[in-house]
Amino acid sequence: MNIQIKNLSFAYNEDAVLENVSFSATSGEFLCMLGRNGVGKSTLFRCILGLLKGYSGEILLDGRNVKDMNSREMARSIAYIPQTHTPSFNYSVLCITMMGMTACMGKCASPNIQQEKAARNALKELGILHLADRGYAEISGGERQLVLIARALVQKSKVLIFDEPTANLDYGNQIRVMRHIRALARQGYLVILSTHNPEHARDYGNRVLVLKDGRIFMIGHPEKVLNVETIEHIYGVELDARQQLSYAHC
Amino acid sequence: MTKTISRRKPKGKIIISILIVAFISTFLVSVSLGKYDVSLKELLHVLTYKVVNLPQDWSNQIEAVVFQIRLPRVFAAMLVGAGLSAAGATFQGVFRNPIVSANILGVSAGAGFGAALGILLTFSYMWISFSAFIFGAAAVLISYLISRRVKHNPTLGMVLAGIIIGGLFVSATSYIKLVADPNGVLPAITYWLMGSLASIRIQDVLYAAGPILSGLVVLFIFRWKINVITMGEDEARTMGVNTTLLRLLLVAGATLITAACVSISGMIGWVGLVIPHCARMIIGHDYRKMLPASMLMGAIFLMIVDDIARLMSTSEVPLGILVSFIGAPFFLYLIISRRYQS
Repeated sequence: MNIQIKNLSFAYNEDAVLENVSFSATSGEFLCMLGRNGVGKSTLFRCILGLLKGYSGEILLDGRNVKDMNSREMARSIAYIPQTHTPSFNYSVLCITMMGMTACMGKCASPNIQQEKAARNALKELGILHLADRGYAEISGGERQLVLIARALVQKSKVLIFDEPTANLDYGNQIRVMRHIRALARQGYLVILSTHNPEHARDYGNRVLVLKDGRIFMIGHPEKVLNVETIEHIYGVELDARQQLSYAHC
Repeated sequence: MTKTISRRKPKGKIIISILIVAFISTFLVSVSLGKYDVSLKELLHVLTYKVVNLPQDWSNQIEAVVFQIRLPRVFAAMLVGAGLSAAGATFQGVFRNPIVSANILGVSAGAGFGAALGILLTFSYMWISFSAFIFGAAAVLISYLISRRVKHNPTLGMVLAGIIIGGLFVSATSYIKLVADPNGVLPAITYWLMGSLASIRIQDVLYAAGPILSGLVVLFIFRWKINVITMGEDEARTMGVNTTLLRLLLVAGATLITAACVSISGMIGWVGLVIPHCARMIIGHDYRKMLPASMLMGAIFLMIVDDIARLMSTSEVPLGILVSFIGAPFFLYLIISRRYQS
């Protein structure tokens, strides 16, 4: 699977949010997207996912324009893993996981036994099968994030888009979740992930994209991109000596 | 692990089976209960005689009571109970808000206005129902059109628009009551708004059964996708659900049901709010099981309350009032009880 973004621009009313964004990525890549709040990361994701249509430029999946794909085809190509949230209703973990298969079911169908089995397998793969019958509202934030990943896996799409997956997680869970995501990239998924933590990009990613004012500021290997100067520039802060040291080898 | 699977899966099925048994028993008991005594044996004979030929061992009076009076009324309670509950559960799912019910889109208020207008203009019963339906649907349509102009948060827009439109229709109904003739039309409107099945006839039930049942079928077919749509617009769409179309279908189905219910029973509140909550407590939040459970429980609940309305006193207490008297305290109990948390 290969994704190609060509001259993507998007504006809300008159305000340009994205300007001439172009890049491409292929299976096995773990692309981390960095940038300040409001820099256009979410807008870029929403365009890629087909949730925003009023953009100019092209988004191609294996050479095919996503504008020509319907929502079911899109779902079978790209999965979206949102930040964890508490849903209005307390579904079981298994039920939430099976929702990922909706695009593979008949239009009026409910999940069948095979699909339930596949969902259990996905939960097992992420080491959370024991939670299958628990309520989603009753498990921890880290566990919820893993459930949402399982839901994306049963969707059988090869592109996974993560919106700040570690935003509400404690340190241990951040590491656990990021390791799982890295493992998925190594299995051949194309992972695109936004994060506010450059260390995640450095430790887990194999490519970094820095967005600034709606444009690509830098893109490349983490070791090349993530130096003291770039980080100070992206976030508008000065790193102290110890923080500088942690990026010195880059 | 397999232990939890085998323990949990049949639980839903067992509850549904129990509900079906309770539903059938409530139906039979409700038809036999009343001021004119019909024994269960006589009832079963009268009912089966329509299918297979039986030697007649019951009086013609019993047959008349069962077919002309009891059955229409019990069927109406069943349809309205199941319909309002399923519509309430669906609105809650579509608007991702467990405190929403049919009232929220102004459906009930619109339908109430339509019926009041029909009574004021001395329409026949059928046209009163039709008018209730038209204005109920109009209320949703207006709310929907307004919500489309609220770009950032269509759900909130729809709920707010529903409340506003509903308020407007309630005021319009009050105005109709103000100008209505206090000697004939006004009491009729007032009584109808209280919600009652007392004057129901078999043709009214047959007339409303079509829209209610077809609406229920639509909701039932898409019960899995209601789960998905409650995850929110973006997530549902990235999982391949055409949310615009699905929401339109679900809202249209639930509205059709509500308007048809209001048109035969008047304003009956609470059912659409309380029953889905009870269903969630006993069978969980998954709409695959929760929606059928809501339909069954709503039907059982309204048949029982209507039995009480019929039997409690010589002059009947309107069903709508009785449902409120039972529904409000029960709902209060629900929200302060500990089980509500889970």
